[in-house]
Amino acid sequence: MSMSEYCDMFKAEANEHLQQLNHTLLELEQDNSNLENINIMFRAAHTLKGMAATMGYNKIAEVTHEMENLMDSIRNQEIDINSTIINVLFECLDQLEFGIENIETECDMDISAILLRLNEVSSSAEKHEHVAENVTCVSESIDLKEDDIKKCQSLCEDKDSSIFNVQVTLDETCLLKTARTGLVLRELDKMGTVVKTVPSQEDIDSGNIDNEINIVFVTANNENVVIEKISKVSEISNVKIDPLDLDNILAAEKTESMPSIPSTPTSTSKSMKNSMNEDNVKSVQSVRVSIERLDNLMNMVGELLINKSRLNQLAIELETKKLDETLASLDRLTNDIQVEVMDARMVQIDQVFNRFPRMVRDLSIEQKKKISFLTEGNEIELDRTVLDEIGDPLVHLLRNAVDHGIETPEERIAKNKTETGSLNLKASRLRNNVLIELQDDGRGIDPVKMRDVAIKKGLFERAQANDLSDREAMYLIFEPGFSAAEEVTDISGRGVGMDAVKNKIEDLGGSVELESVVEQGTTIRLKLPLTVAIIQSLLVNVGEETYAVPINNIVRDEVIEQDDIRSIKGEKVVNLRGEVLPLVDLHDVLSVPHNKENYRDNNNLLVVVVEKAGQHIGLIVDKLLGQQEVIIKTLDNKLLKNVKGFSGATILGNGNVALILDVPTLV
Amino acid sequence: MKNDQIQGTDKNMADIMIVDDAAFMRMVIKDILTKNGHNVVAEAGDGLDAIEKYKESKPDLVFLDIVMPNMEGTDALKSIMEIDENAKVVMCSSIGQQSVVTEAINNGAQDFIVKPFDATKVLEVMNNVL
Amino acid sequence: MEEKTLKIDRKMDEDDDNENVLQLVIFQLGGEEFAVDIMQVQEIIRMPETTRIPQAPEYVKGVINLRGKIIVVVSLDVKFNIEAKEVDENSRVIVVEVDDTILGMVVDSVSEVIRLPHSNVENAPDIITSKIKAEYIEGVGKLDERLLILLDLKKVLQESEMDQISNIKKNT
Repeated sequence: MSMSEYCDMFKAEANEHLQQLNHTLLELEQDNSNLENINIMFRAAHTLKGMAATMGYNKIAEVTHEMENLMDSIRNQEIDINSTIINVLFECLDQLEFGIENIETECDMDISAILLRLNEVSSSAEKHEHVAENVTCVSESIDLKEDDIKKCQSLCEDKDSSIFNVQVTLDETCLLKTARTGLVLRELDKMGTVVKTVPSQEDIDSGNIDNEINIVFVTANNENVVIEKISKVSEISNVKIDPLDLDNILAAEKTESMPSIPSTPTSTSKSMKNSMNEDNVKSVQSVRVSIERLDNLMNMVGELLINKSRLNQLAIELETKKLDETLASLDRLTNDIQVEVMDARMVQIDQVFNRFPRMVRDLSIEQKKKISFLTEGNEIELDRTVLDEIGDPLVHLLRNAVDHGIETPEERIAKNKTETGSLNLKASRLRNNVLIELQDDGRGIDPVKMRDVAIKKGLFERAQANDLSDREAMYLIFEPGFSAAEEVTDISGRGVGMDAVKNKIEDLGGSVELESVVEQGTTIRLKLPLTVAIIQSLLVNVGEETYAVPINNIVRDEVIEQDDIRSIKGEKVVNLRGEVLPLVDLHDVLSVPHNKENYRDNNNLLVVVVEKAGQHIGLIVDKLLGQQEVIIKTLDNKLLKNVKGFSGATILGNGNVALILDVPTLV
Repeated sequence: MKNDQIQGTDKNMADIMIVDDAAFMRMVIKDILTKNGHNVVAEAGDGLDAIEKYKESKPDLVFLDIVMPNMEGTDALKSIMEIDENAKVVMCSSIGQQSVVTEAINNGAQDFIVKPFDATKVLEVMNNVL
Repeated sequence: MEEKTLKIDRKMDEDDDNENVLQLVIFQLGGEEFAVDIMQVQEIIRMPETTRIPQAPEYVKGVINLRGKIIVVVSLDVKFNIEAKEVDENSRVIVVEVDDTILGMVVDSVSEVIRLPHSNVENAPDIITSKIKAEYIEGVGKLDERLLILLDLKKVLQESEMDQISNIKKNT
């Protein structure tokens, strides 16, 4: 059976189990008395083992097998859980993660070190020995005691039965011999009475069986029936049946040597009482669909939307009322389908958040800091495409917070702060956006220091720097190549990062905001669209050309008077109710080849006010065409690699293509 | 002889329920079964779910994993046997689950398979049980 | 590509007596006749509505909607620095696939598809009087008295460094 086709599925599900293991282990580290957490870990390790073994990933199976044994010993209170064990378990998880990540070379993974560590912790703590380990080689033979013979005799008298010696040979590959033998005995019990077994029932129960079992059996059935029934049990390689003559037995005891080897110790897993719904394992009602398929579906929904708007337009052009009803229901249907498909693409943000507690733990240990890290809103859902992209930016922000934000315990005590710093990551829904907030109670960003660094880096003259507002000075952190860190560490502060974070978030159609008070802490807010594939946009005309402006970026629209436009430092601005609004004429920025005078009404100018990094900017356009949902199609062509200012293009109701403005890179 | 049996007793199409908390494992078993002409009528991810689905779908055969959240396979087995004393349940176990499997057999499980599965084992067990 | 060529050759074998034959799409642009290998051509369409892309290289005419896909179309005349006709009902876009990218090329007209034996193609660009750069020319095909300029689409449709430089100049 070729397993390669299951590889992706294996990886996806294995990662889920790993995440659960990580999550549970972190909880265990805080509170090691929670038995259910030990059970959860046992189950996850066990399930992972079964999956890995099925795929032939033996190294992973071996590690999880040992983990499972360790968890079992802890569960049975043979071993007390301690920080050493927790650390070893964390190492196991890292090893497993590595193995799953590099699954093609799983067989080359060196697990000797981790197995040794596991072995150390289980043996050093081991107090009780397994019963099965003490079982020695027992050589037995069919030895019918007087009681047994009497039993046989009475059985034979009651019914018209005869006595047989049944010899059953198990398959070499049979793994659970006790259970298999149990099945054989049950079959026999249905047909008659088992008088004696060799090895004995106790030996069978404790797993002390070779491949052969001898059974003295009284039955009214004939030999062939017995053979047939037993052969139907799986994993039986041979069944031999011989009639037993009681007189012969009484005369000379027939002995058969039955070598027997001790089996590997087995862990007795008592049935676990589970509390309900604590596991995060997904319900079976769901199926796994590749993101590619959802993307295809999404594209088709896009086509459907385009065709729908085309139909609408045609109906208007043809001035026919007959289509109205059908079109209305088509409208509803397409909207429903769109909502369903969008929903199907939604994934809980927990998928990204759940690896952070572990990361912050490791980082804080490395940095010798004490941090209490909390996440909130893990259940908030985001479109898959957005989710895939926000992991790295969040990692960077978290690292910055641990590295530069939160102080060492000594420093904090000296500042009269609590010894343990707090770091909170919170997601919440805000209309069509998801807000992710990262808050720390560390040093904060000092605008004075930021100005100094800016001057030192030659970005500004002293006078210019002093002109910057505190807010502007703090926002310098998002400038390329800017780093306020006094020392460069391994983790962050190389001056790359914050600008990359900002770019990434803005690429996704989101925005970044920063708030910080010196010595009180910093809050970074990421505002992200729920989805990127379909966006609400405002269609505008610039000259004869049509462009789509994402609604996410739009604050409002305004009509201003040409005469009110002022020029400050060569830039056009307008003073609107006390707000100085910088203006950008799209005719100029987009070098539209039409004469703008032909499209503009003397003195009045239409302005779409957009937001860029917390700043408002007015875009001068010629006509507002209305709001429309558009499907973003990428403009990935080598010839367009130098083109900036567009996040993609979309197809309009009339079949023409309109470019979608990307406000952050356009102005 | 075994081979003859497999072919000889091959039911054309059996209705089967697969219970395992790993979707991956369900998929593997399901593929083995469906490729050999059987019909997977229900899948469940834990013991509780398995009991519900058993009532609904009345399968000819159940492949029942042991270690699962919410309700273990062994407990699910008891409930299934209560619902239907003729239920045919095959336990899906791993090395090291001897006593649990033995307990399951005492509680009415027809047979068991040991992970990792291979197709011939799964089909052999199935044909033996049905 | 290898395979496609092979397939064509085999097809030709049947009626062209084991001789290697190219199948070429012939188009006109600025009074000259050009040819591209039919295996690179996906389809030929009438001139659709194009959307201009600000800041794109000058020879990028814009993007079009090709049955729901957005593809870039280039003005070959600008690229070749020759003078094309005004767009009229004969104008066509030849949709080609080069290096896994689908692109449209605007041409004055498309006249025919011909078969030309390999032996009729010479790679001596010095004998022709075309105004276009030699690097864009893969060879010259002779069909009776006609000279067909076989284009090397890979070279034509990749943005050369020169283009990038002129582009930067244009933008600054």
